[in-house]
Amino acid sequence: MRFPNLFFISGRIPVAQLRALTLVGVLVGVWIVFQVLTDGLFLSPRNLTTLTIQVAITAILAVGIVMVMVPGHIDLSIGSAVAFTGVFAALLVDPVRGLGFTTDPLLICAITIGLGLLIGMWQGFWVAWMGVPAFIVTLASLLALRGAALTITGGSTVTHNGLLTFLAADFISASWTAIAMAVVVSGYSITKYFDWRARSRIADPDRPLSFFAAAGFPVLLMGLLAIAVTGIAFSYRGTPVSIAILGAVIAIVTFLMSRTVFGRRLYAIGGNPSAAIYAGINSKLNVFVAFTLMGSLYAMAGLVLDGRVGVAVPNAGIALELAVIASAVIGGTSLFGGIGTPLGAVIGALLLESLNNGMGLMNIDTNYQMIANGLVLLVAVYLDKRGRASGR
Amino acid sequence: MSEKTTNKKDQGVRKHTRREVLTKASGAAAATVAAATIPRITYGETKKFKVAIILPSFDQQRWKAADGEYFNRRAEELGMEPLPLISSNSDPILQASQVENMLTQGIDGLALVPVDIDAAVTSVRKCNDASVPVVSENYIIPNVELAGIAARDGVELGRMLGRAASAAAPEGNYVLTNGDIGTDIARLKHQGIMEILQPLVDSGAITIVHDQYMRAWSGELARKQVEQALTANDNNIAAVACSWDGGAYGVIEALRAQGLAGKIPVTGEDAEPQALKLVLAKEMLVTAWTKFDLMGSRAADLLYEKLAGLPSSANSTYNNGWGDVPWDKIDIVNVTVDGTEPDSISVSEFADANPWWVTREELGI
Repeated sequence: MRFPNLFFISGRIPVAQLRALTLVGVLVGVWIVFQVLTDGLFLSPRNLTTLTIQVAITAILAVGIVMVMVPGHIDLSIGSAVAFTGVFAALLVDPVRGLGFTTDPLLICAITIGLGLLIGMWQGFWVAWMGVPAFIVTLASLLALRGAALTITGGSTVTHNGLLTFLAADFISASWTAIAMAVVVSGYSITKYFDWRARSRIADPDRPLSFFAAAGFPVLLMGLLAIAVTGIAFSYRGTPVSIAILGAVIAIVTFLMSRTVFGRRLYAIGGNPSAAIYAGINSKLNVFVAFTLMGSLYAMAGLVLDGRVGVAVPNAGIALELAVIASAVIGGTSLFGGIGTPLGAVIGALLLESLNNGMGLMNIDTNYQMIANGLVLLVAVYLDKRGRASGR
Repeated sequence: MSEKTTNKKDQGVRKHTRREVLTKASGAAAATVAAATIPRITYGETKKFKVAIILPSFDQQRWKAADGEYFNRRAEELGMEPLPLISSNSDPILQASQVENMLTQGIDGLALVPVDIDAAVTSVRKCNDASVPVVSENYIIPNVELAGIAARDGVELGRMLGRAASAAAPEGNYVLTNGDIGTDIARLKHQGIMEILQPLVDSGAITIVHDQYMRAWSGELARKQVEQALTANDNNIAAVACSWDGGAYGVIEALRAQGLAGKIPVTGEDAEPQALKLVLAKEMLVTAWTKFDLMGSRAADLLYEKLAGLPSSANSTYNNGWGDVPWDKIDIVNVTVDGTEPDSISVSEFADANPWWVTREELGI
């Protein structure tokens, strides 16, 4: 495929970029359809804010699972781990069923994230050093952590006395959103500029690297996103705390995956495990770290879920892992490792949640929402497979 | 955790008081009276009936603390020998083998809370072939011989929620938040709510703008549904008829985000401590309560009557497809903030009547 050099590096569309753009196109198409069907409700600032809050939990986890799937592993424990960390956080507060240990929300969050890291380390240890397939290790956790959540609560609902509600209910003011967005866009522009400089130095002199393709276009997209986010924040209530958390998670994991040695190694391990070992990569350590980081995200999702429902329920998050894996796969993450980006996974999650939200606005039966989710997953993976076969 | 041990101790002391209060609290506790009149004969030196209850899971507090505990307690009072409680981990296949193991152990009677009512039919047949009578607890096992049924009337439960909601919000837009469509009880409750609401829909007083089933009884999905319903109707919602407490928490959080909690009546079922707190805070209208302890002890009564050849004390019968089976319909009561509505008791009356479930201290009253 040859295109004018205006947009694309070396005139050829990188497969990953093409796929991301296709997915964004599908998402925009779905949004327009719902906008028409709901008489303009769907894209109202209020509903867009609600939609982002609704997607936060799945999206945080989808970002995380990319770190696990890129080196070729899988995580089935998500739903149970989220429920377990969620009830654990509430048990720290609940004086009757739990410990009544603290009422400081930040301390609760810190301890819970610590627990999440421990769960992640446990799984990482068994996968990396004991050599048990991740499918089995996390399947074991799916069972065991659900059992543990039911045991520590006696099967009953636990209250956090509204201490964690701020995670789902509070907003960061629109002015702060504008400032944060300005910082994000400037930071992004600077990195893209240095990227372009570094890459032009090694580019083929006959086919010089277009500044617009390498730096201008991505920065333009990011700028538009920032304007949209700020605009929504000004016309409704600001930015939800859960979305700020999601934004931070996306930024950190994207940085780790694309700009650090750790990230490069994860892609190398997933792309060709033997080659990675011969290249001197300590795959065990890197996989262990990936699972550990994923562990902290169980806790974050569990805390946000507590905030959403107002209480902690040991039966929460059943089959959540399937929605997370589906989001990552729709977002272009390969089940066989080596391919995938955090942002793609977030867009995948947003696509699934948009279907649920839009159909919900129209009061369409939840059963049909499940059918729609299933079909989208199937078609997305088929298109992805076909796209990759012809792209190479 | 220490609180739980204290509760256990209290149970022993207050056992009789609790029953008295319970009888007082609900006028129509005919079943309790009937239970008290059964002669407490023991078989003395002769063989004791060996009985057991199989619970579907320990996922909910009620199974172990109410149904199981009170079945075994009543069985002992009746001079039978109850086996330790077991749970089927929500697995119908595991439950089938547990029933077989029970038969191998030579039980005389079984109370079964089926994980899946249709899958349980085969197990009940095996028991009947071995002349072991079976009481179906909490659910009704269809098309097979049963010694009795100790279960609530799911449709009536829905009616009670529907009545409470429509009394509080006689007109306007309604949201119906239902449980998992794969469970019988979710559909029965929906049927009951609709029996009350349909005439109001027909007369134009109310409009049902949203009516959805939530898979896996998810409170998070319930929150999403109400968020969508509020957006789609510009917050113009008169009531949320939600059929379980876990859903009501999510519903109320969605209402809080719009500053509407306490202004829109929300219903629930199970009388979970958190729901009782929300009722006290007037953010929740009502949480319905089935007397699960009574359900357990009545299952033991029905089983004993069958084994001892006594006439059944069940308060109704039900044709389950095999024939008429004695059905003890277990009382349902609405718990509201002051208990002045029909068929309702106040939160404090409820706490006094059920100290094994929740205490006044826990609720801060």
